[in-house]
Amino acid sequence: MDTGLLVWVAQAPLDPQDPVTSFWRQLAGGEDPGALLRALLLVFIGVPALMAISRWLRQWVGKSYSPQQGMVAGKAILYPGLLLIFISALHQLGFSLAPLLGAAGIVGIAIGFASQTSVSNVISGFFLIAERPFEVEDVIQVGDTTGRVLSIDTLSVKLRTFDNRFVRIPNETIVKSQVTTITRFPIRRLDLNVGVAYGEEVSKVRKVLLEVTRTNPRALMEPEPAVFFDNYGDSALELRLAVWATRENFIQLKNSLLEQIKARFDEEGIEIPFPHRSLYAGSSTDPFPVQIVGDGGPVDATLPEQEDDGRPAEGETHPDEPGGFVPSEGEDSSSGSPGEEEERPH
Amino acid sequence: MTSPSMIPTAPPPWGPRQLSPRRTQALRIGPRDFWLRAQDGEIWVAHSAPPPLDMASVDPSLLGPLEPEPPESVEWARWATPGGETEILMRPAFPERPLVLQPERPFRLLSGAAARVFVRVPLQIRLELPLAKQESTLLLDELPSIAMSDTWWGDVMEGELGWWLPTSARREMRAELHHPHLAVCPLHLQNRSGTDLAVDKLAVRVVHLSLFRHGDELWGDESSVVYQGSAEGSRIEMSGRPPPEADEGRLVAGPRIRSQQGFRARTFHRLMTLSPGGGGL
Repeated sequence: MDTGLLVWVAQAPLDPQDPVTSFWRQLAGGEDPGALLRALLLVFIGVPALMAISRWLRQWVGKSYSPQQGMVAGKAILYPGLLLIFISALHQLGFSLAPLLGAAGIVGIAIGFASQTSVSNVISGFFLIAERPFEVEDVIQVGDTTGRVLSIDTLSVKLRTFDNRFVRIPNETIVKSQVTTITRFPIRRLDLNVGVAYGEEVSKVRKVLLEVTRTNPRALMEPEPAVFFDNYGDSALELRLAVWATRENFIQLKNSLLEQIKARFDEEGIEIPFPHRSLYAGSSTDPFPVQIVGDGGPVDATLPEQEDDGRPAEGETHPDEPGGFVPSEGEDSSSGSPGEEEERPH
Repeated sequence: MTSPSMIPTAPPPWGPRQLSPRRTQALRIGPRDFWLRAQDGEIWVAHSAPPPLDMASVDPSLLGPLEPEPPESVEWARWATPGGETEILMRPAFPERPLVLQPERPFRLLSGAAARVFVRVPLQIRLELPLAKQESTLLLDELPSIAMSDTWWGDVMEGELGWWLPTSARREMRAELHHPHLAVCPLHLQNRSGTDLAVDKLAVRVVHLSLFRHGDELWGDESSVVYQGSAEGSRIEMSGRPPPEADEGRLVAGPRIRSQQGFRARTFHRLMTLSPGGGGL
């Protein structure tokens, strides 16, 4: 700090006509020495009392109605109350409000231009409270962020994500974005995609899936669970189990149902396939030959039995050339397609 | 804490149990097994899991023997008592949610017609600790006698959570259908609307029912359900007295929620708009 300036200020003669001097004198109580004390009392007692009332009202309304309404009620008391205390304190000090309000208007315009984003957030906040797309305690999804709403404030919405991070989203962003309120309705439908092998009987799979949902206490019996046959997939018959749960039980239902379905499919011998890829070499009907090289071990048991005519079978390794390849009849060894891929549904 | 004015007069196996120190007492209420013990100023309780049984098949001979000690897989729950109490009270209570069930066979109630049906309700088992120095009890735990699935009564945007009852409403009641863990609730259904009423599902609001003992049987008070074709639901009134089949029944437990004037609520499935899968892809 520049101590020279302080010394100059302390030594400067006070001019009663100077507006700055007049302002400080007024702030110190002017002609009434008790005014400053009254103003200070108003601030130091009024503000804590107002905050306590606001907090109590927020809790009471929050318990009696909803946390959202509690928050709105608390703020409806707090902000006008603070303004009132500020004006009253100035009035105690002898300030005239009319020029102050005029100056506030001019200052307000200047600040408004300088802080358009903030003003936009404030106005967006009013819309959020009036439109109520979500409330405090709701779980919402904004972009990639999902979390529980902690508060809807003047400038931003505060969320707590499920991995316990604190996220602040400006109100303007919320108003401009697509917001999904996950907890708006009391029940939710869980859609589970279930793929079964092409060899399975769809009616049996459907019956088993519905039985599984019936034994899960978290699955709602009404609305009734349903199984939809969605598609003939690349590797599986694609079915979808639609089952309802209360929003509180949604995650537990998903976990338990997936586990139950796997266990029950294992019991019933229902295959859950994974993508299969068959490799064909030479003839499209013969399997790919496999032989353990080096120890003269037997040819892989998956090879088809063939009559021993002294020459290697089609696609079989030549005995003199371990690892060598004998092309199929009518197939040029250079144009053969070992390693050619074909995806087949299994 | 409950008042002792609710006299625990339910027939055995309900009622008070004096526990001996360090000795396990086993008992069975319906399909659930309990093991009780008092030890070092604590009450110890272990219980089997609620079986997901169809209530029609609840037959003691199917349940196997009652073991004197709990299996190793069952864990004890322990409560330190305020005055070293060694008594525990097993009290029946109606479930805390409405029950949704189907009639034995769906039927239509013609305009102006009335029908009486009986519903067997699986009771909750309340474990209470009678306090030695006060005439009151402390609730230790409340358990369902059988496992019931959740169900929703209403539409997908508004409604109430209920229990799905794996039994049906019957037009007649026989003595062999009584079990210690089931209370029988008569419902008097009336259709005062100008159209037929298809009765294919019912919601029974058991939180408003009282429980009565008649011999070894447990009964709920008779409730009257009047359908007037209103979208707001049916008018429901509880008599607060034992039904004619148990006219000398004694009160075992009052309703969880008292309703002096009756109330209006959705009772029949007809008002619902749900379809399998929730009506959409």
